[in-house]
Amino acid sequence: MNHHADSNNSAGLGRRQFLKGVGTLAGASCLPTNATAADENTPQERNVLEHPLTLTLRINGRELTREIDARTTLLDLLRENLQLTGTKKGCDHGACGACTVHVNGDRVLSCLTLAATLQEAEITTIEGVSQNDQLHPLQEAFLRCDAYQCGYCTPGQIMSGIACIGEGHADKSAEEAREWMSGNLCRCSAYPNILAAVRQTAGAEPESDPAATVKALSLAEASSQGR
Amino acid sequence: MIPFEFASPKTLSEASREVDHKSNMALAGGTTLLDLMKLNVLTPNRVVSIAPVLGKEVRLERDTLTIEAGCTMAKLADHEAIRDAFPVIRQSLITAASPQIRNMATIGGNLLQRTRSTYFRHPDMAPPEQSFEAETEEKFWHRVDLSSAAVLGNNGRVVGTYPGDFANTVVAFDGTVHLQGPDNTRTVKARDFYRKPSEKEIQYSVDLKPGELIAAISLPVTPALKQSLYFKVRERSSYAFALASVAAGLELEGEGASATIRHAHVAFGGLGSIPWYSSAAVLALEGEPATDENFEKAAQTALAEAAPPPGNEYRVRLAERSLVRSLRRLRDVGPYTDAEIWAMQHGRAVNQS
Ligand SMILES: Cc1cc2nc3c(=O)[nH]c(=O)nc-3n(C[C@H](O)[C@H](O)[C@H](O)COP(=O)(O)OP(=O)(O)OC[C@H]3O[C@@H](n4cnc5c(N)ncnc54)[C@H](O)[C@@H]3O)c2cc1C
Ligand code: FES
Ligand code: FES
Repeated sequence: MNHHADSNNSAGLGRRQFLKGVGTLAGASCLPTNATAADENTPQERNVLEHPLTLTLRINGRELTREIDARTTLLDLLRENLQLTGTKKGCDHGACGACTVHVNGDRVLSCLTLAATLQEAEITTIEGVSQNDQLHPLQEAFLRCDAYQCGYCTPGQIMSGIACIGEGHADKSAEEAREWMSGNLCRCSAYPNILAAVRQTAGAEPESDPAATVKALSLAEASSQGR
Repeated sequence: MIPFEFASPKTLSEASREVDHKSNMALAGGTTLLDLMKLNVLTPNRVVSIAPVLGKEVRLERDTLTIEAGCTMAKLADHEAIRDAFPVIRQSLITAASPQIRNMATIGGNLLQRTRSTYFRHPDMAPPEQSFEAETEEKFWHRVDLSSAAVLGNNGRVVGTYPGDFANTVVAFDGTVHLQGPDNTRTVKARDFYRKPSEKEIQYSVDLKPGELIAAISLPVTPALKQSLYFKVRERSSYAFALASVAAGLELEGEGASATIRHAHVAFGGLGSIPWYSSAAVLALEGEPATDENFEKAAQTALAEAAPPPGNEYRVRLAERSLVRSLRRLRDVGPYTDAEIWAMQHGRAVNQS
């Protein structure tokens, strides 16, 4: 039996559906008493698809056709419609870079991209950067350099990093690489190791674990060195 | 976001027929529009996708640079005609936003971004007719975050700053905005395109009629455009809007402090309710020797009319010093290189890894 599927299911509902249900019930308390949650849901859902748009695009090499509401952002298309949850929603307003993907080869923010503008576009997400079981060299470098703490910004950092290397901004000065990675914020502050991973992959630094050169000093050692 | 219809016109004039900038809005890169639609600050019924029908070319004719409105910030900054030749253009683009945003954002949309004041970006901000008195009342000032309120061109009121960078270059170097209406075209000087907030407005407006779209902008190619720079000060080293910035260019006759200033171009960003062309600074500089004293005098003259809201007095000094530093740099060394910009922003020596 699939242990994973089981633990994700609460009384046969997926976590996502379960959470949606909770939302509906909470909302239902302010409805007229004779309206059920189902009554409330149906017209809204119809309204959403009153003028559905048909969208055809390629995501990670696979062609997809979907009917979408005009409001759908690329980020929501990926996460909500296609269950490609590797791309993360941070701020949803263009300010953090967590949602970075590649559209026709350029890095962009999926939270500020309307899916409707992507007819026939070629999208690459974090799910599409490895070849079968072979990680992308930058993914390898993130592991080697311990370039994440909570990992939430990581997919966006990797998508941005791959583009940054391709644009030629990662193999010169460290300042240049920092600047061209500055659209990706990390609340855990893993920047030094992210920078090392990106520059190592670009060939600007030898491959090594930055932590290998870190020496932890005892209090006594530190004070004897005047720190 | 409220529901809306999505339209994909086939030509620019078809697109302009569809757009009224209120209930029918143009979508280019979407980095301002989508952001404000998600906040329900902008609530169009119809979104007209114009990026596919806008021109994207950059053309350098002998004395005019023309940039079509669909060109992205990234493509313009990296264009071979711009990269090394016109530093202020490249620098006002690459010190703005992030690489991802610059790949999306168009030059046309960039000129029309809205103020970033969290107060004026709030959907509960009452319509100006109702809330107006409050903004001149001192009590109100203490309840609102004024860090992105205008210091220049505010008419003594609390109004939002024009937040963009590139437009400061466009007004400093006397750019022209080319507009495409449903049946006609029109050009407006960038310095006339932006209008300070009227008594009923909380941020700038533009001379853009319903049905008109920005098709291109153009800049005269002058010697000063080559001897130019964009200097931007912000709260963190990158990916932030300016607290104060300067777009400047100098054409000198002679060397060093004994040179005479033939032409000067000066605009401030992050300070004004509109991209702030400083005719006062230009007047104080042109025809004078390029001495430190004259630079300082020009800076003081330029900021003489500043009316900073409480807590923003420091931005006046910041702007003065930024201008003096920019002019000295142009006189003594010339434009900044890319490497110097990265080093300056990230606070480290140029070649240190
Ligand atoms: C986190 C963040 C940080 C940023 N930092 C900076 C910064 O430091 N400096 C800076 O300068 N900018 C900054 N920006 C703003 C960004 O540069 C602008 O949002 C962008 O340039 C707008 O271009 P767009 O094509 O995406 O416009 P859109 O969002 O598509 O449109 C903006 C407005 O212009 C209208 N419009 C668009 N094109 C046309 C046209 N051709 N004719 C008529 N109307 C049109 C739209 O209807 C809309 O009202 C930042 C944005 C974000 C989200
Ligand atoms: S989620 Fe898109 S930039 Fe933050
Ligand atoms: S690792 Fe936690 S946000 Fe970057």
